[in-house]
Amino acid sequence: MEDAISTHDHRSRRCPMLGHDITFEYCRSPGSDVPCRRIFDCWWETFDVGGFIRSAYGEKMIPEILAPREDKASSIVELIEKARRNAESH
Amino acid sequence: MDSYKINLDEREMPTQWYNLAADLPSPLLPPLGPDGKPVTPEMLAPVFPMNLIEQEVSTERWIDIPEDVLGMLRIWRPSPLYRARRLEKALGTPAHIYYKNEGVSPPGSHKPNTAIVQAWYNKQFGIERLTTETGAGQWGSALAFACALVGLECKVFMVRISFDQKPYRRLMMETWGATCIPSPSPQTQAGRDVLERIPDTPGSLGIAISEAVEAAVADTTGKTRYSLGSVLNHVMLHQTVIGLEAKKQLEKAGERSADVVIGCCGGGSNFAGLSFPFVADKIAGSDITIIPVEPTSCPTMTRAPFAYDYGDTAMMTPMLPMHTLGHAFVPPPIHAGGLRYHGMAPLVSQTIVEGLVEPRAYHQVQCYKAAITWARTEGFIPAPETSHAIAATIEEAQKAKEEGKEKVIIFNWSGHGLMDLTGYERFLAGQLADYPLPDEDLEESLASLKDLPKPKPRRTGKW
Repeated sequence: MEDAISTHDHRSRRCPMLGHDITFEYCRSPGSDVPCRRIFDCWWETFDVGGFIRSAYGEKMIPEILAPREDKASSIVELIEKARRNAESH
Repeated sequence: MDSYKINLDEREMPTQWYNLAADLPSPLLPPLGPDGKPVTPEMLAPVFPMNLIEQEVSTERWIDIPEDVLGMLRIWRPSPLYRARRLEKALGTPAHIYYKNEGVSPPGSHKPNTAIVQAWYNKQFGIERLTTETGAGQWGSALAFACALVGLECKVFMVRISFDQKPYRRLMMETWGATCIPSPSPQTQAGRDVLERIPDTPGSLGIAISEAVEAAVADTTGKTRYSLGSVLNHVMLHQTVIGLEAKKQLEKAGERSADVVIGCCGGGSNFAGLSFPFVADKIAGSDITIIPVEPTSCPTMTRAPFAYDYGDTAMMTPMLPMHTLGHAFVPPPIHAGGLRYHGMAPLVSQTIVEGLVEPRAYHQVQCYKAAITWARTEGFIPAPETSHAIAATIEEAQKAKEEGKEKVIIFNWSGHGLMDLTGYERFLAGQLADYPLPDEDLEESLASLKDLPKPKPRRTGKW
C-alpha cells in the first residue's frame, strides 16, 4: 500500500545542518519540492525512509535527492551569474 | 607541579600567516568554471574584495597580519595549549598528548580567526557591509562578532526554520549589531521567487546562500560584499595562527617538535589551521606524521581518487580539483555534520596528493567510545567532529605505548559537544551503527567520473 506523504511528518530529530530539532516534514520539503539530500542519512535508523521516498515520490526522485551537498566555493561564480541575471530581469 | 595549560603571552602571538601554497612541491591546479576555463580573480570580484582575492591566489610564504587585526585577535588569542595528562595516565602511554583549545573565542569556535580578518580587509577596501548565510548560526555569529569589532554592517540570511527555533543564536548576532533576516526573504529576487511558489516555506541553506550572494552583487553602490567561512585558500591562511601558536607552545613545554599532528577534516580549515605550519616543517625534512581524520562511512580522503569533479549532479557548477567520491556519491549515515563535505579544500587535497599528510578514517562507534573516554578523563565533552580526532589520538598513543616511544601528539580541539548530545544519547542507548562504504558502492559511484576530464596529478614523489 502506498504511504501517505504525511505519514512520518510527526517524527522529529536533531538536524545536523541546522543544529536544532526538526520534524520529518521539513526533511521532505526543505524550502523546495525536492526532499533534503540528507534525508536518507538522517532517517535510515528510524524507519524505511528509502521505501517511503520510493513509494511517496517515485524512483525518479531518488537521484535528485542524492545529489551531494554542493560545495560553496565551486558554486560562487554560478551564484554571481544567477544574481546578475535576476537583477537584469527584474 | 605539572602544568595542564601552556599559555603564550600576547606579545608572542604570530605576526604573519603561513601560506602553504608557497612551499607546496607541486602547484595547485586552478578551479575551473562551467566552460572548463580557470576561474579568474575578476570573476570573484563582485563578492570578494580584491585584497582578499590577492591572498586567495598568493604564493608568498609569509603574509603580515595587520596590527589592527592582531589587536582584535588578542581578545581571545593566543588560545591555550593543553596537555591531556589524565588521558595519558588512563591509557598508560608514554606519549605526550596535547590539544589546542579553539573554543575560547567569544562566539566559541575557531571561525572568528578568519571572520575578523575578512571583515577588516573588506573595511580597508571601502566596503560598508557584509552578507553571509547561516544555518545553526555558528558562522553567522562569528561574522556578526567580527563586523561589530571592525565597524561594518552585517546582514545574515538565516534559514527561516532556524530563525524561528534558534532565538539565542539570532540574539547573539543581533547583540553584536548584525541584521538577521529569515530566509527566504522579500529582500532578494531569489527569496521572492521561493516565497511566491511556497509562501510558508521553512527555507534552506541553499536558498540563504543565494540570497546572501545576490544581496552583495545587487548593491549598486558597490559597498557590499559576501563572506565565506570555509574551503577557500585565504580562509586556510587565516587559520594558520593556530598551528603557529602551537609550535611556540610546544617549545615552551620543552618539546622539540611534534611527532604526530591530528585534526578532523570537513571543509579543511580546522585541520589546515593546526597542521599547515607542521606541513612546512615536513617539507623541510622533519619526520612528522600528519593525519587528517574523516568518518569511515564517507571516505572522501582515504579511498577516493584525485580527479576533477562537478559540484553537483546537474554538472552546472565550476569544477575544483579535489578529492572526491564522484558527483553521484551517496553519503551514508553518520553523526558528524561538519565532516559531511563532498569535497575537500584544494590546499588540503594537494597535501594528500603529495603524500605529506596521511588521511585516516574511523567508524563512528569508535569515535563515540573515544569521546566517552575523553570526557571521563579530561572532562570536556567533545563535539562529534572532534571525537574523530580524539579516536586517532588515542590510537596513536596506544601505538606509542606498544613501541615504547615517548611521542609528542597534538590535535586541534574544535569544540564541545554540549549542543550535540543527541548523538551521545543514541550511542549510550546502543542505537548507533557503523556503515563503512562497501567497495561495490564506491566503484559504482566512481563510474560517474570516467568521462570527466582528468588532471595529471602533480606529485613529486618525495613523500
